[in-house]
Amino acid sequence: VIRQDRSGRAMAAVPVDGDGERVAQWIMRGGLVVSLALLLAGTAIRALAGGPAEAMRFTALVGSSDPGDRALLLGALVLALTPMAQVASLLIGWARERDYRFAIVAAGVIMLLILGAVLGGG
Amino acid sequence: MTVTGPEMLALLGLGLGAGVLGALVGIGGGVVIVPALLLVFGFDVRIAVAISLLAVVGTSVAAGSLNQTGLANLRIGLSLELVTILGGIAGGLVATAIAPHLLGAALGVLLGVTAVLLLRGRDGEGQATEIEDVPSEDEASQEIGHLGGTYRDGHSGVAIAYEAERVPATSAIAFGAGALSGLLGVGGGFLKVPAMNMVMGLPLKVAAATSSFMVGITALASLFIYIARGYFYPYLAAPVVVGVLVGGISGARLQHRSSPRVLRLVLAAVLALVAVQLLLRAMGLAS
Repeated sequence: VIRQDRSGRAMAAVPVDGDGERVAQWIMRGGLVVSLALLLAGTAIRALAGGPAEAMRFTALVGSSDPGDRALLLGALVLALTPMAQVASLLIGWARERDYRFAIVAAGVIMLLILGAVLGGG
Repeated sequence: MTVTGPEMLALLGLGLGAGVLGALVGIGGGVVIVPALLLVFGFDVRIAVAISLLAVVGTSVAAGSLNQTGLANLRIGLSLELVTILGGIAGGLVATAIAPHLLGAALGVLLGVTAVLLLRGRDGEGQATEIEDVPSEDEASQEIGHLGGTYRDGHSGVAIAYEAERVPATSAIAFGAGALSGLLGVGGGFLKVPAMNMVMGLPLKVAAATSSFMVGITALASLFIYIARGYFYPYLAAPVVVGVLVGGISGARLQHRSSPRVLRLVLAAVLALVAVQLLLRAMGLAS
């Protein structure tokens, strides 16, 4: 099927499982499996150890001596970073497909997310 | 804070339900999780929002891991996400200048009207048209440089082509959804899905799947702020997020196979629920 846009020009179609999208999907699957495993392991360790739930920041990954808390934090961090990695893979994939318009959009989203994280962390 | 075994199981169940619903209609699930954590479990609102934000990311990741059906249009999603994040920044900047309760009341009325329009609407596929030749079942394509694509519907088996209409108007709504996220502490999926379907003319399934992809990124922008400010309790969040990850996969599978009519009814019911919540909050009758 050769589809045309409103001005009558033929549009180049790419399968959804082309470069960027395929890598992005594997990143999502990997992030899901790893974070799920870490969250389950962390919950089990914390449940066996007992004690109250405590508020934690990602910096506690270095400072905490509790393996359960470290697994939980690492699981949350992996999950949180997965969408960012997905957008980064889309940026690279679209740039390789010479779809520069959307590669720039992806770069803009990543920059805004980093800006938000820096401003929020401050 | 202490949490018992039965409470952990209840949190897991909450996550499962929210994950299924969130991935099914593309709203992320925060509109279910936050009220439940406040009203049923008695959590502080900031702790509840932090857990909900990570859960919304989880729903998005679970739904995204199953996008082999090509329903989510990532080019449309990221384009709208750019203005959504900008809206979030703008919302944060004007948060102190606008009365959130008045804004919430206005949004509640708007969502109520949208729910009625959805219920009265036909079950068609927006501006999409049926086509005869898509490579094979579960394959799809998107056009380089354009906001459009094709996919094969898992319910009817029909191949459908679509192209985004009225992009500036939908972008304005996405900007507003981002601003509301900052102002009211709510997600934007319940605004983005109707906007993409009713304004942009995308098939409802494409709108819902694309929104699932978007809400994870929107939630991420706020999540880091809540964690940095010390409102994140990983031991409380874990059962909800585990439930959401498992439920989100089921929701995404259901979405592919569901009829547009069922999705439309579920989305209208969720919008009505959110509208009531916002109006009650505006009247001071809910937290």
